[in-house]
Amino acid sequence: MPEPLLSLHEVTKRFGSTVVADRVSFAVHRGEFFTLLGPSGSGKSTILRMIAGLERPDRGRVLISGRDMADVPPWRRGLGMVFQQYAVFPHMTVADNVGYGLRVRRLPRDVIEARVAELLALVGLAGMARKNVTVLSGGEQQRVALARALAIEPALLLLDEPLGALDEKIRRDMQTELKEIQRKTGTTFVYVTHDQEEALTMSDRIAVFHQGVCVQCDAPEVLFRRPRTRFVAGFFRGSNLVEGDVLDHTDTQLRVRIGERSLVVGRPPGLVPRGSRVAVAIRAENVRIGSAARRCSVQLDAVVSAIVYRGTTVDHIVELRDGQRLAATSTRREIDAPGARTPCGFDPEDVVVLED
Amino acid sequence: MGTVQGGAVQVGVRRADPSRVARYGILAIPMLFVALFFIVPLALMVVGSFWERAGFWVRPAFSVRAYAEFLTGVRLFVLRRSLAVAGVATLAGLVIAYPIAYFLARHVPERTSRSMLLLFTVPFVINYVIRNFAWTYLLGRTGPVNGMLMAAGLIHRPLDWLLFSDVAVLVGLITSYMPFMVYPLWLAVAAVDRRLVEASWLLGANPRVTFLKVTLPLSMPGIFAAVIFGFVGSFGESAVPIILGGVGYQMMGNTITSTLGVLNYPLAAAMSSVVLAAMLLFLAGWYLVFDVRSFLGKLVRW
Repeated sequence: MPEPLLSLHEVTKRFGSTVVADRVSFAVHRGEFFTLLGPSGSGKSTILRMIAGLERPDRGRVLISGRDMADVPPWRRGLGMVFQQYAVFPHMTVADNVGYGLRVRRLPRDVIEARVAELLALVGLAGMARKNVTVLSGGEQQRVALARALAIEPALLLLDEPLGALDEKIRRDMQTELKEIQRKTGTTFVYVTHDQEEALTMSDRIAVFHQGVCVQCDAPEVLFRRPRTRFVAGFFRGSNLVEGDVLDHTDTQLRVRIGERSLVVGRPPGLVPRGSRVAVAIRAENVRIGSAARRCSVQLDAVVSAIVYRGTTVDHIVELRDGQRLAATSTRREIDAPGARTPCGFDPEDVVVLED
Repeated sequence: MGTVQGGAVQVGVRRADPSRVARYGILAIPMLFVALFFIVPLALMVVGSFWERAGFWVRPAFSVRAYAEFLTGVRLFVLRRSLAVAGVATLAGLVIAYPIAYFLARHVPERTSRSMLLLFTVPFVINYVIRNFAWTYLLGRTGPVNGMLMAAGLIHRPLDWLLFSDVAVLVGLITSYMPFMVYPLWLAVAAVDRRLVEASWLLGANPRVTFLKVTLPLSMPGIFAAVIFGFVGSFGESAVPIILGGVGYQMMGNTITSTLGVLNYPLAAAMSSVVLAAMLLFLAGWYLVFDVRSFLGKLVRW
């Protein structure tokens, strides 16, 4: 493994009595699209600001290309940053905004002009160079901010909820575009968002934050399919959380009882004594009801309690015999009306035992 | 509202919208007040500047004698001195007030800065005549300033130029008008988005460059507002030159007062009109350079 471009070691930060970052460690590699995901107040923005040098960690170290950043002020870190509220300079034109970092570096005028034109083309603002930034739309201002940050060829581009202030439609378009720009320029992105879908569609890896703690850091598919804690499972929409009893265990496997059936599933690290109750996550699209349930290796008796039509999918909410509820998502309506009895099935490999 | 449905004949009279009437009604009171007590007297003053002296009174005429008297006589020197003294006082006030405003806006928690700003109103609890007379004691030959300088061994004889001089007038003007300059500057600096400063840092600009390229240009409207507060006030001041300038120290304010004293009303009106015109030009320049509304808009949003 090559040396990571950015690494955090046990970074801790307090604001008064609240711990906003609690011994956070992770590493980001060159060219990666790395996302910090979490609800507001989870500490993700503060971590980004500590990487930028805008906040000072109480403890721990931030390393960029192996160099400790403790005594390096923001203006010597050579990073780019894009803010949620654009933060374009209102007293400058589009071109002056984009060329700001280059002018500060005292590059020759023709070099600056060429680079500014190149970046405006990259972000789709060619021909807007002479415009006043304040007359631009939110999406356009954010493109200016992005071009301005990329102009200095930053080692690392930090993005703090850059699409958070934009309309739904523009946000979707910009997601694709951002990913495309990241691929074209080969810049390493560290991206902060609270939008799980945004994180899943754009990222190479995602670190999920909860109350200042990095609870899981994995590729999107892994996070989505194999959450490790209740928080992560609950954060991605469409996970069922049910309780099971541990009947027996080996080093790698657990035998748990869910409802009236017992099944053998993978075992999480840590202590899982026999007879304890564990939380289990099953994604709704892996739960089958009606005739499809008969092909599953685990089947439980259930009663349909609600049917929610969502357009492309239909959620069937079923209640098991022990009173636990599960959602089953399918592409078409399986049961006509609530109140009907139905088998409810899933496969053990889709069942994830959570650590907490 | 007020339209008849179904193709009936439209009544040709526009119905008065009651909320509109109320709005203009409320606006009319201050407008009338301003017109009656400010605009009309100022207009009368301008008209009067073209009249002629007639014994102890004036008579209607169209004469530019008063202007000629003003612009050719020794009073032109007074105008030049007023401009220079007010200019220096304003510049010095800016140099003192900007760092104070910057510090309060950027390095002090908002609650503290608000109460500290309130402290700048304390000098105005004391009557300005008393405030300025206090300086005559402080700066006098036997006053504490000379006393301390002598005790420290820096001087052997009391400094004469501390009082009844340009220095004393500047001290009086700066202490009178500098506190007023802090407020618009504080508002302007506080209105500069911190993220713009952070964005500038990350783009490689150190705090000094960031100040020159971001904070200073964006606080320009506040600087101009402060300059107007300081300059207009200092320029028209009449108590400070009388109390601290000493005998014969003339600025526009007290020259106009003394001209009224000798009953030369047209000349006093002409001088006042020139001062008024200068100030209006100044304001018009500000309005052209900065869109006042956008500045106010920023303050309101903030």
